[in-house]
Amino acid sequence: MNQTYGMAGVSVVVLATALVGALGLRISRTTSDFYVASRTVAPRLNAFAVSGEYLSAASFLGIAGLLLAQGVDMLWFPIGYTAGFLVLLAFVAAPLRRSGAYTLPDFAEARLESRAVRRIAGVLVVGVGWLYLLPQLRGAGLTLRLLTGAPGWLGGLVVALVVTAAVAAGGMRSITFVQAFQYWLKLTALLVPVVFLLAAWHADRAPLPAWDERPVFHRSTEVRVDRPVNVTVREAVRVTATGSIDGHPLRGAVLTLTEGRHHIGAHTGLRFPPGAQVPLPDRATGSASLAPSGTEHGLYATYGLILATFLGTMGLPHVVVRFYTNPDGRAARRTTVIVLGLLGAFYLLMPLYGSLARLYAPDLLLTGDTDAAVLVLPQRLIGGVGGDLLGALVAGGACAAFLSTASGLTMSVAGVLAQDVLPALGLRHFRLAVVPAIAVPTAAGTVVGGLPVADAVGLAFAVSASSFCPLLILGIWWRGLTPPGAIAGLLLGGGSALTAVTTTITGTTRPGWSHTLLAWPAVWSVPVGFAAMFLVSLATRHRVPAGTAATMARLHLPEGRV
Amino acid sequence: MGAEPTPRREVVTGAPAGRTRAPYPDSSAHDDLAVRKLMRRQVRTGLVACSLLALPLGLFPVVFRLLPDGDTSRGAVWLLLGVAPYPVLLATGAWYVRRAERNEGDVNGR
Repeated sequence: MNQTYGMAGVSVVVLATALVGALGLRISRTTSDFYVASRTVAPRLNAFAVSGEYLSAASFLGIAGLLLAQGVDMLWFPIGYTAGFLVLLAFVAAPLRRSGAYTLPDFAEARLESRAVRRIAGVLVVGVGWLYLLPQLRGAGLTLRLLTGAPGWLGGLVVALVVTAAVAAGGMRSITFVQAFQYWLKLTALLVPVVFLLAAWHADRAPLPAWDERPVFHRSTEVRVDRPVNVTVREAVRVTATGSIDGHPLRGAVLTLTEGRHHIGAHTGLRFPPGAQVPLPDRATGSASLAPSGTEHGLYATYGLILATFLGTMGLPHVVVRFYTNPDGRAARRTTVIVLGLLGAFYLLMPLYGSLARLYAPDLLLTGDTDAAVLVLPQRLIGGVGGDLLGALVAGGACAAFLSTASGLTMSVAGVLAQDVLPALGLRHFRLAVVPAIAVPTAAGTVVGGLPVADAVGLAFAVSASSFCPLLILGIWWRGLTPPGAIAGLLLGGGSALTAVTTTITGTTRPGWSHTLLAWPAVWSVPVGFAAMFLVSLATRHRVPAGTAATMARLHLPEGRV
Repeated sequence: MGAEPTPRREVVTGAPAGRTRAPYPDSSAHDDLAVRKLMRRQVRTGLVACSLLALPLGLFPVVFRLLPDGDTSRGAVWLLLGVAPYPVLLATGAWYVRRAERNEGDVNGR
């Protein structure tokens, strides 16, 4: 990955973001403008913005990395990310817009006429937001580390600062333009290179990747190991090494790695010949993915992933907020359908990148940096100035990915903090709230260990699916929901998922059923959330809010009917 | 159609400050019945849309585990997971929007 070109690409994206954001700043002056862009955003523009915001580092970097490491099962991630919008469309889009609320806590209070529900929903919004922000900042750290060799935490810090400035300055309106622009940037950043990559692959006699067996180095590859790692070699291979292997210091020596385990020291470079099998790291070292693998409770994990993503999208804070910028319920539906198309167009590229990575960047499995798959492919496959330019384009796209999602999330978390934590309303207080909104995940990122980005994002989905999905579905379609019921569901469903997920992140669980259940809580926490909400509401029937009939009419009747 | 003989009166309301909520609909029994009917229709449409999606996708993980090993199976799985879902999702979404709007149009009594 060429450093100068990469840095140039990133700088261009950051400057363009700031520029487009500044355009928005000139227009946003009132609080209403600030929060919800005065509801004058057209469906198509809004759809671009939703898609731009939604395609995070998990989509841009993470999916290809997981495909490289784990194969075709990982395609459930992008399917889930997209299908969640269909569920949102079918049950939530129009009524949520018609509720007139700005945020999820707003909806909770409007529907249930209870401040307690509002507060708890607010806490969960902040929790989900922070869970989602953490991997974005880590993706930024990884990209910056690849580009400049800077330590991982610096990238996260840079993104945090840029996002703080953008959000505090322009609020929602500027963010709309920025996000719309960034959808196109991200799509271009992957679409243009893939054309060239496929051409190069074709010129290389179009090999097919090995999925069932261990991956093989297609060409002679130089692997650079930054952190010490233990590997298992299945087939003896001659390598040229500089650094340390099994404790022996080496300088450009040619040696044979025999079958069995070897320890590769930090900052070691190894050159593998073409056709050599890739030695894989032991599970204990490097970032072990949570994702469904063939052997360990794969079916359970796959369904956990499906449930979390299909049902969690509707509750994600940065998605929810953007729906309120539609002029009415019908426009909200139309926006959602366009989003389905835009996301699909993007995700169609993922199998291509995953397969190319398996062929040409299998060494990433060794170093554990699978999230970097998309970033390194142009230089690997094309090389020269063309490879550098395309690599810069991809780096710029990755940058756009974490900037846009991080802005959207910071925006929503700050909004909730400002409305519910800092008592008075007003612009000044919103700007203050931006600081804790982004500072906490940035700090946490330095402490917490290394899950692949797409996995970490799945955890946020699980919490959202266990708390906000029941709240929205039951709140919009069932007249019997009561405030105690909602609280019970949020606390039991959301609370249990949040606990399970936090335990997983701290990495203290050992492999086995307990680890799997905690890593993929959706299978049990979503039913818990629904059941709790339903049963407790039935038990507190007398607490059904007085205005429920009128609220239902407002949520479901088309505008213009009085 | 000829030109309008008299100028039409339009009522213009200013941009709402703070929360915008549509005025409370008339909560008479007749309207409540209409709301319930509409909700039932919309739920049904929503469930149809989601089961068109959920049923096949939901069965895939199990089905794929049962497939025999081999290149054609692998190719089929890649296509079914990597390509096929997206046009289907888009088409289902478009169908849903059309149906939902038609349901609402019936309420408006066109």
